[in-house]
Amino acid sequence: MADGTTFLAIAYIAMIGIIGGWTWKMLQRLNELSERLAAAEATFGHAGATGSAESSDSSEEE
Amino acid sequence: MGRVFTNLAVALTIIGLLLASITLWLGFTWAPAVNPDDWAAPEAYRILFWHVPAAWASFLAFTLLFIGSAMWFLKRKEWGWKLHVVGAHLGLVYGMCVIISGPIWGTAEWGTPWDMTDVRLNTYAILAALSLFLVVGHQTQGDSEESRDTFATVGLFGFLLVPLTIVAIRIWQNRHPGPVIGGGSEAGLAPEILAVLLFGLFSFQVLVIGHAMLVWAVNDLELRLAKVQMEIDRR
Repeated sequence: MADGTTFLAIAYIAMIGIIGGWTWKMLQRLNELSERLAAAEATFGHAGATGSAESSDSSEEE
Repeated sequence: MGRVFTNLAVALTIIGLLLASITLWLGFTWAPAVNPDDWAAPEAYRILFWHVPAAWASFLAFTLLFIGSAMWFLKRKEWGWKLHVVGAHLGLVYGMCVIISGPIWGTAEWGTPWDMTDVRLNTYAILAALSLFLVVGHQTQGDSEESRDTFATVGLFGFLLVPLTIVAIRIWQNRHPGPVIGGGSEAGLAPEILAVLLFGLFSFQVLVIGHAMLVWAVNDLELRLAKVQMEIDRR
């Protein structure tokens, strides 16, 4: 039978894993979303700048 | 949501993690040992330096869940729904810490990981299961007004378990140790142990606030990204 210190170590490793792992996951998600949003906004800005010209061209085709 | 808010969320999270690490270090190096005659596994008592603060942090998370659920259900506030999501996530994270560390300590001290006759253990387990249901539900169900109403209702009624869990130990104490804060002279904690525990409680409150802001910021970015993508698709 393991002693109290072993159980204590297992419990703390589990808690550090949960809190650390989840925090790491959230920070990664935050970075990923920031990059994707910046890219999407850049695309949107580009589309916004050319969108009016494209739409007037395409309206003639339609 | 501004860059300042996101930076503050990251900063508070890092500060919270640092403070929690200091708590752990103090708990192992500065807090004295307990009387070995009073405990089956005296060294394992040091679990309380994170176990109790994690439980308090989860209660704050469940309070956010309740406020968010109420604001969505009664006032249809979008921020209420965001708060509901934040509370559910954090309730699960901190709830898991409590639910996993508790039985490990129980195995060392009681010789059994769980006591089905202990009310506090069971009500807390239901609370943690409720947050798991909500997090899984948010990820698997489509985001509609109906699904939000259902989850908000679960959040509202589930919160009833928080005061029940808190008072359970005073009314039906069975195996779980009595309250260490506000437990009167029976708590009997050495001043150093109490000081580290209070520092731990403060650390985890900082951490849970940082985490709450982090989830809020992630949520906000997801919504903004979805909006921009919809605009792009429309053109």
